[in-house]
Amino acid sequence: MDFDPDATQQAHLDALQAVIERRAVPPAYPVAEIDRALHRELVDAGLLGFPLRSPADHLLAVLVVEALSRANVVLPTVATALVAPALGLPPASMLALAEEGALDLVRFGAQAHAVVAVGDDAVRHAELVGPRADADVAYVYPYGDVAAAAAAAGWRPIEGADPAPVRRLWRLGLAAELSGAMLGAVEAVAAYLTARRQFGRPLAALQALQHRMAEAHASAEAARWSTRYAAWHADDDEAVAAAVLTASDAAHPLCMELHQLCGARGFTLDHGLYRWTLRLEALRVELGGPDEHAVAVTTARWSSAP
Amino acid sequence: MVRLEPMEFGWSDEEAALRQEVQAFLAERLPEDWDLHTPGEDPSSPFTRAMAADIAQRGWHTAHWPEAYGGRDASPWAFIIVAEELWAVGEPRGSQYMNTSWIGPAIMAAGTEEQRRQHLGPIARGEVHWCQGFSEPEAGSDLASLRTRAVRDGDHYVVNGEKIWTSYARQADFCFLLVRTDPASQGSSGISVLLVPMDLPGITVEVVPTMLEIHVVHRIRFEDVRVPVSCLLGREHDGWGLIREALAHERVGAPRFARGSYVLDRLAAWAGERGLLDEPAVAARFGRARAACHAARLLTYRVMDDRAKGRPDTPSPYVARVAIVRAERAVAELGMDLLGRQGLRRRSRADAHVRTAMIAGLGGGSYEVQLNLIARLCLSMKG
Repeated sequence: MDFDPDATQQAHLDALQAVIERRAVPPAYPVAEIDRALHRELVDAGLLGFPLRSPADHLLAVLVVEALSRANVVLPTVATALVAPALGLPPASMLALAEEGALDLVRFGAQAHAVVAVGDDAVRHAELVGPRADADVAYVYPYGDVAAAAAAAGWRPIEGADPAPVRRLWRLGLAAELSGAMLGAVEAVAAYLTARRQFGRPLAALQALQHRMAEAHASAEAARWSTRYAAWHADDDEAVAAAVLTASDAAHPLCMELHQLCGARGFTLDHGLYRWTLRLEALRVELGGPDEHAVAVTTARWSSAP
Repeated sequence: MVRLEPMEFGWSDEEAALRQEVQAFLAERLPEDWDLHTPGEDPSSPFTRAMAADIAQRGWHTAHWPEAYGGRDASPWAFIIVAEELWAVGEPRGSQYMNTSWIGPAIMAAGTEEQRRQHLGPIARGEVHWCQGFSEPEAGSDLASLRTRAVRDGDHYVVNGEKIWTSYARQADFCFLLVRTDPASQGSSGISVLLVPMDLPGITVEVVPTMLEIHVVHRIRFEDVRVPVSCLLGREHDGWGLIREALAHERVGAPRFARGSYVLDRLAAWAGERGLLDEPAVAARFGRARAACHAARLLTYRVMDDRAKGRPDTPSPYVARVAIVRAERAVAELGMDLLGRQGLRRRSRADAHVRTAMIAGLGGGSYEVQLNLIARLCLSMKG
């Protein structure tokens, strides 16, 4: 095992960071405008949406999703980094991901070029051409109803695509995006508590708040390393379910806790905490109920237990 | 420094083989019901003494030590693999796990050649018992306020004071003792470490009655104990750095998550036999406890990675310890809920793990101290 990136991995992440610092704009409230040019630049540079041929590739893809989320870049990174390469779809296409039968409220559905629908027995793909109704959702991501546009363009089954591994990669990516958002949010709140003075001293000096922040940090770290480990073992049901569960279980309490710690100031648009916290809620919902993942851990571990 | 290895989360063939060898050895050697022992519960019986010697003889006890001191120059990964397997099944070395994890390394780092010769061999051979004289009645989490004093008198220190909540003291041959050698000092300065033979006149050990059942703690009184100056570890008045390092090792030295995972497996077998794992609510509880153990394991592995790369001062042990305590508590709560009133029976798996989880939040530094350190070192939140 090795918990540090090597020179090649670090060079990839450094190049990614350089693009983020040069190009990324914090997402607006209530809905971010997707920066298609940024997406294209990341893909063209080979930083996002590269082929997944090995555990190392999966891990790097997860590191990329995590880093972009931490830096508050709102792009369909899970689809581009993990799902599109696995399905042989072009990474440059802005892809929305949906469960079959749940096409009315799809993350990135309002602005994506195409949608992949994962069903019980098949995975289907449809181009999304023309306008779609924006959903009335204020969780930063551009949600939309893709049913009509996809039906108009026509669904195509993706030959040979098994829904189970596709769903596993989708969830793995969501855990990475959650981890990045949690890490970014905790860092931002720690900085705020250090700057904000009350009772004649920085809020960061209060042990009650230090302990709650340390708990939040430990939760985010647990999610991050569980997810990175799962990326290396991406075909291991238990590892992926454990990562998804750890990230998903942490997200909602962390969202509430960080807003509580920032007081009313944390609600304001110029403070910007929403950029992480609202995304946490949205991503958690896309994963489905965490109890399902908890059961999946048990099934994977003990289904053959006496 | 040029790093050659990429981030990866697999085991080498050698590491996988080591785990298999240890597992096979334990399957062959452990009595049927040995796993009902809580780790550390049986610090020094004829069985644990024999097992410690056997494990040492196989080169596993101090595999991660340099060859010059009885090790095999293996990486910290060998240490954690062996530690996990042994802790999971009840730690058949008794209390000697402590020696290889932090007492031996401290002597290796700061000891004189004579101290290394005297202590490291017996530790590596699995034939010596230690305790650590850290906490005092008035110095628990605030360890730096310790008052046990050692006054220089010729070639000796004269030690007076009291240590408390000390594990394994009754069986110990030596004590890794923290004392204040500079009477004018306060806080972490002026503290020294003495390697004290427990048979010196003036040392008395008594059991402190507790509700822990699975673990015995002691009070050690030092009354005009004359400790040779040659027992000083490192520099006089300058022991705090050694203590910090020892505590960092202690926080993850016992891989508690491995026992938690093991107990979960046993509880799952029990639940499976009764069809309870088919109930989604029960299955979800198991999944959460398992994921908590898994996260604690990975965060502990991160500490091993830091050690393998010679980075002793990272905050990774504090984060790992928080995850470990969370995992222990999740397993304990599940065990008790699952077994219901039968879980209350003395020595049931639930009973033992509830008490284990209580200890986890305090042993090796309280949970709150870990949180203090995370806030300060990981989040730059200053007090």
